[in-house]
Amino acid sequence: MPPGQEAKRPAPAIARDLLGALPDALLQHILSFLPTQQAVRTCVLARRWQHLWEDMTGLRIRAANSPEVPCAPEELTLVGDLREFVDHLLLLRGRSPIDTCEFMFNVPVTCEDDVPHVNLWIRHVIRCNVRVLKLSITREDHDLGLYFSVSALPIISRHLRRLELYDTRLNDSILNFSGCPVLEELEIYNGNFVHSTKMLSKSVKHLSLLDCSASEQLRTYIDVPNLLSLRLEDPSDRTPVLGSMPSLVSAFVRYGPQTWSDDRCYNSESGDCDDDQCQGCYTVKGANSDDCNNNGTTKNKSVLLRGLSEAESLVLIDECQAGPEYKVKIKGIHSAMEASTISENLTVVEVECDMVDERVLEVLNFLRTLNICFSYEEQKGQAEPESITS
Amino acid sequence: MAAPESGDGNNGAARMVTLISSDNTRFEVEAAAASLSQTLQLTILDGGGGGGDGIPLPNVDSATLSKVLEYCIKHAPAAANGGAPNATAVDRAELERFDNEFVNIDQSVLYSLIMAAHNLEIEGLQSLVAKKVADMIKGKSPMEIRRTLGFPDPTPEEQAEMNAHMLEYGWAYE
Repeated sequence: MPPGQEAKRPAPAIARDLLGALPDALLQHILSFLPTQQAVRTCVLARRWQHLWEDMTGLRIRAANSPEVPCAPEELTLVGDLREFVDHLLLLRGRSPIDTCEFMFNVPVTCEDDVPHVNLWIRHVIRCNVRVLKLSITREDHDLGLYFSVSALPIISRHLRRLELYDTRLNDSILNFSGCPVLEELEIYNGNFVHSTKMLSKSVKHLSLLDCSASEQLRTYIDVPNLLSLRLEDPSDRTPVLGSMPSLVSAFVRYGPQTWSDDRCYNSESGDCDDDQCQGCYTVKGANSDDCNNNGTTKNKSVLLRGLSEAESLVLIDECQAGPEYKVKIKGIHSAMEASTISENLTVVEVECDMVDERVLEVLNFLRTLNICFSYEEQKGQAEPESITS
Repeated sequence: MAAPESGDGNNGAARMVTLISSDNTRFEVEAAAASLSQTLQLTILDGGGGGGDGIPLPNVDSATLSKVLEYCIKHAPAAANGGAPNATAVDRAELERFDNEFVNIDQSVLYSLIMAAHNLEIEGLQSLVAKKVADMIKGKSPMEIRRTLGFPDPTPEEQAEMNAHMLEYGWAYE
């Protein structure tokens, strides 16, 4: 028999007996990997399966025959097709605890009335002590973009440990996680921070902000003092201000070539044209950030460094012009003679760039003032390193 | 990051422990691999399993245990790194390839494995097998699922009961 065929063959009696001997919790664990509609339908299999779904701890609220993710918004199932099912499901299973819950569907622009209804479902699963919650709710054809607006109430949960938000319009209430004392992992993909001035959590240890957009006028202040790892990829508009993060171990910050950042100077090669009117060079006030003056055009470019300064491993990538094919890799090690001014912990800085131009030299000179020495590593064999090692 | 002393071979040979299956076969394995099991980890931290002692596992036969240990040995390095953060894409792809191959086995072995993973509290293995079984029945009708799982064809009474249930659960059918 060719490999891959064994599991497809109907099970012999011995397998059936072994399956029958599994405790309910294991059968429920198996069911939790199915779209929940399918899991519920197993109630007709045999008497033993009749009520298994009611105490299943994993819910995947999505199309019964969902396409593989990620998929285009129009391929997602419509909220209207799930409404009756989810209402029955949640009412009938009551407050039975939930470990993992995922919502993945489309609330098209014609279904505005469903927005509060969906928010009610979300509130309900939070009250069922959900530990891992993933919201991937898309608004197809909405003029304000794909973002689903979560209700403006803070989440209160002593159980929520991990939260993943896709295509979500955020607000200050939802981003106030002080009511979630064990929330440790937070991932936000394509989040909309236009109306968010502050994210607040004392418990979050791992934070990813990927492809998020913000306002031109306002910076979101990220106040997560106990963070261990940060991933900030392709932030559009205004870069958030990072508060102090003394426990930070690793940070990865990338501005990809498609990122439209309002913090980039598009007027000069060096990235600093020194023009009062240039929004990239003269930045806006950071909301709630105590290191900004109340003057809206205060020159204050260091929105990230205060938060990143404690990192032991730091990767900064700007792919503004070059693609991801770096040709030169510059490794900075802080001078052993004098502690680096920026941080006691930072030991390695990697700068990856296409070529060493004026802009890169400026960055290197800045870093050298912090007692960080540089050496080159050639990549792809094309670079011609001219040594500027101090 | 401080590595536990027992683990990774920094100080010469890695610490080994002995596990004894229900049919009395002895397996010698690195403590770091066995510690993927939450249950065994406690025993090992208490100093058990070393020397000639061995840890008896009366609920796991040797065929299943050797399969469980194959998984643990493969996953131990990643687990020692505290999960995934530092793993490269290549490492992750390799683990994924291993996992896919690993569960490409007879149903009876899958059920023995998930039971052992449950008893030994090896979360990753339990999820891996649960997902595999779910994939086997995904997208199938109740009758097809019954056949896949080896249930005998329903008697007329059972069939009537199934039909009645389907009516009652109309809300779960689009």
